[in-house]
Parts: sequence; C-alpha cells; structure tokens
Amino acid sequence: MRPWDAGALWDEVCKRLKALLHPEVYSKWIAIIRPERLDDRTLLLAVEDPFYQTWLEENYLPFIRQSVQGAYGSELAVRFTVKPIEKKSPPPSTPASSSMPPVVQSPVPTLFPLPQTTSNLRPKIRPPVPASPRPNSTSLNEQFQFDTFVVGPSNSFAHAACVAVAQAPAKAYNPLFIYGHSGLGKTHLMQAIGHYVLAHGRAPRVCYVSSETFINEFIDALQTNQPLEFRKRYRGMDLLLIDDIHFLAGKERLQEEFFHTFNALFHAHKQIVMTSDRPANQIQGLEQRLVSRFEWGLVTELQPPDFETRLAILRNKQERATVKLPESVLEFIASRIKSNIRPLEGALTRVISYVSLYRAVPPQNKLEELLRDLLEEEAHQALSLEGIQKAVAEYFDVRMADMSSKRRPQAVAYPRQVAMYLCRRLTQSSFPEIANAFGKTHATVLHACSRIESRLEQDQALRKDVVEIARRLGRREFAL
Amino acid sequence: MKITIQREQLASALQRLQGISGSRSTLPILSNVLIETDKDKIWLTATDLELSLRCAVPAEVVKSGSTTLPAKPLFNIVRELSEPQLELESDEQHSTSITSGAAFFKILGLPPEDFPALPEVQSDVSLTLDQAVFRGMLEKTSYAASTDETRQFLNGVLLSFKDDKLTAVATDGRRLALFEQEIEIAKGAEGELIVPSKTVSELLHGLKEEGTLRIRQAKTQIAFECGDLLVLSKLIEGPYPNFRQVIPAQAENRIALDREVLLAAVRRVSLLTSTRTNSIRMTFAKNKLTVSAESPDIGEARETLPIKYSGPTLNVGFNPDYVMDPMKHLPTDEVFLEITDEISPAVFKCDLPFLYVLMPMRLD
Repeated sequence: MRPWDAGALWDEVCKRLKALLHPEVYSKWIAIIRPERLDDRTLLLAVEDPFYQTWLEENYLPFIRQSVQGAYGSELAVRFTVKPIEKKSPPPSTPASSSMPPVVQSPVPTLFPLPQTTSNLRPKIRPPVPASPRPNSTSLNEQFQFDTFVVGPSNSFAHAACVAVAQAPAKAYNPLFIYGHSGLGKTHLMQAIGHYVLAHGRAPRVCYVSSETFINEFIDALQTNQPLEFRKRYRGMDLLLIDDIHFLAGKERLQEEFFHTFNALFHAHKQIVMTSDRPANQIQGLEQRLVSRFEWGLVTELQPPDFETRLAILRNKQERATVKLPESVLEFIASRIKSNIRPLEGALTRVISYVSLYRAVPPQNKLEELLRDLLEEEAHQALSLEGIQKAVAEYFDVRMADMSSKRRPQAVAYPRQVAMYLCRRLTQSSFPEIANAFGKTHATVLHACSRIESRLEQDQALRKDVVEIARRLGRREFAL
Repeated sequence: MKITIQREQLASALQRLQGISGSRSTLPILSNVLIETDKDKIWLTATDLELSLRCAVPAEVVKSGSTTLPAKPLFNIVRELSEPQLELESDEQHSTSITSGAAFFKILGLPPEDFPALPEVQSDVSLTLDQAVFRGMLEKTSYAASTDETRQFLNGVLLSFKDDKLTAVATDGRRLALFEQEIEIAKGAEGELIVPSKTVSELLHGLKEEGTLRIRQAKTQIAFECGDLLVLSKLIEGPYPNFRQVIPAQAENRIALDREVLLAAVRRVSLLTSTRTNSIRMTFAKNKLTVSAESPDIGEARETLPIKYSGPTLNVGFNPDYVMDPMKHLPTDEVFLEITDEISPAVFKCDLPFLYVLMPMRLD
C-alpha cells in the first residue's frame, strides 16, 4: 500500500469525484471540504458549518467513500468534523448585510435588536458539540484489534463469539454479554468488535461508552433537561458497546433509561455488546428485567489465561518491542503472574526497560527483586481463608483438621486463634464467614481476635509469629 | 372566581392547550391551565416552559379572580357536558366546581401564584404580517424540517428577515423547502431565527384566514400575537444553516408536471416500494414520465404520465414521501421539476416564490 498523507489522498479523491459529479455539485459541496487527518482506518474531513456536514453525510457520503476506497486501495472510514475557518477575526461590530459572497453567507444582525441581546442571535459558530458524540466518533483505542488479541483455551469461546458478532452484527448473538475479572481482555474484545465493524462498514454508527460516561451523560441530560437528545443519541446507534455494565447496579433511574434504550435497539435489530466483571445475575442491585435481558443473547466468560496463553501474550507483546528477552525470562514472568494480563504486560515492560537501561538481562534474583511488588500483588490475590489456615497450621505444625476441630488444648486453640485473627486482618471476610470456615460461632472468632489483639501488645513471641506467617502469605509489609 | 361560559368555545380552547400542559411531568403545576378573568372574557394559559400558549374565550364574569386546574380532566369534563353553557366557580382552596344542567363536578386546582410567569418579550421593534400569508409560508415549508434531535438546529423553521423579504426555510439534510415573501421590514428588524417545529404546529392550528399577526423577539424568546391568541416560544439557537448553498444554480432540464396527477400517481406507485429502500424510480424519456416501484416481497407498480420532454433519458430514484410532501401543500395546478442528472439535486418550483430541493436516491 502506498503511504498517503491526508492532503495527497484527498487530491486524488477529488480527481475521482470531479469525474463523477456534476461540476456545480462538485464546486459547491466537494470543494468546500478540507482534508484534516488520515490514520490507519479513518480519513477525517473538515467543513466549516454543521449544516454542510449534515448535507454531505446525508447525500454525498457514498460517493466520497467510494472514491476514497478507489484512491486508497482499501476500505477506509470517512468522517466529518466541523471546523470553522479562521480567516478573519469576527467583525467587532454588527456587520452590514451588504455584499453577500456568493457561497458563504455573511452573518446577519439580530432581528429587533435590544441593547444587551445583540450577541444572542449572531450565528454562534460552535465547535463540534462536545456533549454529543456524533455517529462514528467512537473513542476506540486503536490497539484493541482482533489481530492483537492472543487466543487461548481460556478465552477462545469469547473470542469466537465476538468475531461472529463483528462479522454479522445483530444477527449472530444479540445481546452479547462478556464477563470476567479485571484485566482479562473484556474491553479489548469489545473494542475489537467496534473496529472490525467500522472498518468493514458493517454498521455505520458505532458507539463505545463506559458505563460511567453513560451515567454522566444521563445526569447531564437530566440537568440540562434534554433527555430526548440523550435517548436519540444512543437509540440511533447501529452498534452499542457498553463497558463495565455492573456500574449500573443500584442506579434505578439509569437502569430504567437503559432498559428502554436496550429495548429500542434490540427491537430495531441493532447489536448490543456489554461487559461486566461478574455474571449478570450476580450483579447486586440490578433489576431482574435487565438481568434476564442481559442473559437473553449469548453470555460468555473470560477466564484467567493458562500458562501457554500468558506466554503467548508476552511473546506477542515482545515482538513489538525493540529488545528481545530470553525465553527463560518470559517463562518466569508467565509462571509467576497468573490472574491478570495488565501486570503481566507491566512486568514485561519493566524488564524490557531494565534491559535497555543496563544493556543486560537481569539475573534471576535481580528479576525477582525487580518484579517484587507485582509478584506480591499476585500473592495478595490468592489469599483465602483456607490458605491462611494452612499457613498457620504449617507454621505451628498442627494438623489442618485441628483448625476446625472441637478440641481445645492450648497447643491447638492458640494457633487457631492466630489463624482467625489473620483471617480477619488479611481478608475481607466477615466474622460469620470466618466462623463458618472454622466450624465455630462468630462469638468465638470475635473473642479470638480481641484476645490476640490484646496479647500482641505485650507478647514479643506472638508478634514474631504473626509477622512471619504474614510474610509467608506474601504480606511483607504486614503491620500489627 | 365565578364565570359562565359557552361549552364549545371553552372545549376548543382547552383542546389546544392540553397538548402543551402535561407534555412534561416534572412540575405538577405545568399540567394545569391558568384561568384568569378579564372584563368579558377569560384568559387561558398553558406552558411547558419552552412554549407557552395564551388564548382568550368570551365569558360572563360574575366574580373576577384566577385559579389553575389540571388541563386534561378539565378538558375531558367540558367535552362530555351536554348543556351549551356551564358555570365555573372556585373557592379559596383553589378547588373549582363545574355546574352544567344537572351535572356537577368539583376538581382540585393549585394556587395561581405557583403558575410560572410567562417570559417577558420586551422589544421596541415589532413586525406585522398577514396571518394567512404567514400561515401559508409555514404550511408550505415546515413539513421538511428534521425530526432528528441530534441536529437541533434543523428541528424547526428558519425565518430570515432581510432585504424586505421574509424567507421561511426548513430542511432535514435530504431536502429543503423554501418560501420567500416580500414584506416591509423596519430598519433594524433584520435577522434570522429558528422557530421550533412544535411552535410552528401550534401556529398552524392557531392562525386564521384573516387578520394580522404581530411578531416580537427578544433574546431567545419570540412572541406571536394575533387577536386573542399569544404564542410565546423559545428559539432554537444557531448555528443558522447556510441554506443557499443547497440551492442549485441552474438545471439542464425543466419539466412541467400536473401537480395533482403526479401526486396521485406517486401515491399509488409508492404502495409497492420495498420497506428497505423506500424509493420510487422516475424515468424521464421523450415526452413520457414513468413512475415505478418494486418490492421483492410484493410485486411491482408502474404508471406513465405524458410530459413535454426532449432531453436525454434520465432514471432517478426518489423517496416517494419527499415527492408527495410539497405536492400536498401547494395550491397551484402546475409544478416544474428542474433536473440535471441522476445524482445532482432536483428542484421543484411553481408560480409562487417557492422552491423545494430534493436529493435523488441511489438506484441499485
């Protein structure tokens, strides 16, 4: 493909359009367009008036798109933006409506002017209204494409579903609900659908929003009393991508609004894709009617990647970097960071920057030191009540079964109390949950915690024990 | 407050007002109409804060005063009453009893002080127009306004007062209707403004065949006054579309068409447009126009019209509704279609200072 810049490409497109369109149409509608920007997938064109944009989009976009494709050699999205030409500063006083240029109409003074109101009616050239994302003005991240997504057994189903949706929006699976823990690629897959659909012209109007943006815009709409505009904006989409839908939990008015938006889009056969960090029926405070709708189409889960996938992700990422790392380093990172792809990539970036700074691959101990906090964070996440029980039992050399037994000799009761105390301190679990894990009542746990807490103040040996167990559990910075 | 009033006159006034009150439910008082007595009439006011309507109904005022009543129940009651006259009497608690013949109603109102004050439209200059003329201008253009709320500046009729001409324009991005009327415009009264479609439709209902209309404008408000009717409305803020850009300079071919014949033919043929494309094909050949449509599911339709035409054969696609709209609203027998080719804008004109730009659709 020839490397184009926006100006050169537009010149070529103009040649084609000139041959296609009537000279008058050409001079009136094509000659007023200025090429603005060209990137991998989009040619951005600027006009000076939102009305020109409307008229061009409604009437000449197919011609322009076709000519762009012809000139460029492959498909390219064409978008318009409004940019006033700043040739002269606006006249300080009201301009006389004398000489009217043939094409651009001069601003006209107000009708029945009042001393303080003259400015109100002068055409305000507004920058492209920021509040309303116009069709196609998606905030998609260019990096999130299907071909940069590493497929493995943990995500192959979700990936296949997304590809199917992208190839046939609103036909394959509608709505598509993707869930999984943070950093497993939900947003990546979702945006990849948006990119694919735009690039292949499957749906002209694509909107990607996070639930938070959705909420803010809804509140704005309520404040400025323009709920219709808000509705129109989302209900006019061909593909609506809503990220982190679980943020709707507990927001009743918004759920109501979203319910109607969902229905409007669904019944108009428009594709809806949502992501969440948990299955719809586990989102607390989400209305049942929404839950059932979310489960209507295809629900697909992203699971933490297995070792091979993690390694593939690292290799994939490394290919785009300048520095090459030995396979053993990649394997080390992949084997130690398991639950989330963001720290996985972060660890790689860190090692790469180390290598480019020191011009040497870090040895094993240095590597561990370099990635200490990431590895620890990983350990943090794995803490379960059972894990703590196990660590405590190991430390005090008692049996795991003693943790929940009814026996109460000092040698067993004391470690048990330490374990209860650590469970309370290191996890978010409630007293009853902890009690349950130990086969005791919550009062027992409460007693154990307060007892250990008070003893910690005087008992040097106990303090040492607790800190050591916490360290073994990956909590180096545990403070009593 | 105590009044006696003709049922039919009250009902027709309320019918118009209830379209405005209650369209927004945020403030309960907005679903009420304000009733105020005057010498020998009452004033009824409804507002949704963007558009306000105030009209007078002749009445016999026994005891002056004011109150507010929920518009919808009041209208439903008045409509159902059988006697030609009715009596309204309100007490201090703002509940109003309605008596007509043997029927009695009591409905609860809200204090009139709570009713939002109408925006003041203070302006030194005003413009006076013939009601029928203005109404005709709105009728012939307003159907082309956009209903796409994302393009707010197109959701109304643009009025341009300039060079002793009032121009009314409406467009939705695919077609544009324009009517230009010569009127006298006071110095300093020139300008452009966009009147929202909802206000236009109230004007179309309220304006009569005779009498004059006074227009005043200040800041973002506009007031239309005619006789016993006052329409106050917010204006749509610009940017003002540069509509002249849309109008083609000249066309290669000008074809005279019988308006009613064309309208009837398009209406018939459009029965068989497919829902996907919703387009009809107009084929201009030597002295013959063929209007045709086909729908893969139903079948096809074709109708030929004799015309005077000697240019090259043209095969143009149009949205049938967009062809019929101006035909429905024009009074002339003959319209002229100016057309250049299959993809350039076509223009309908007639003997009035009217024009209608219509973009062809692409035929596959």
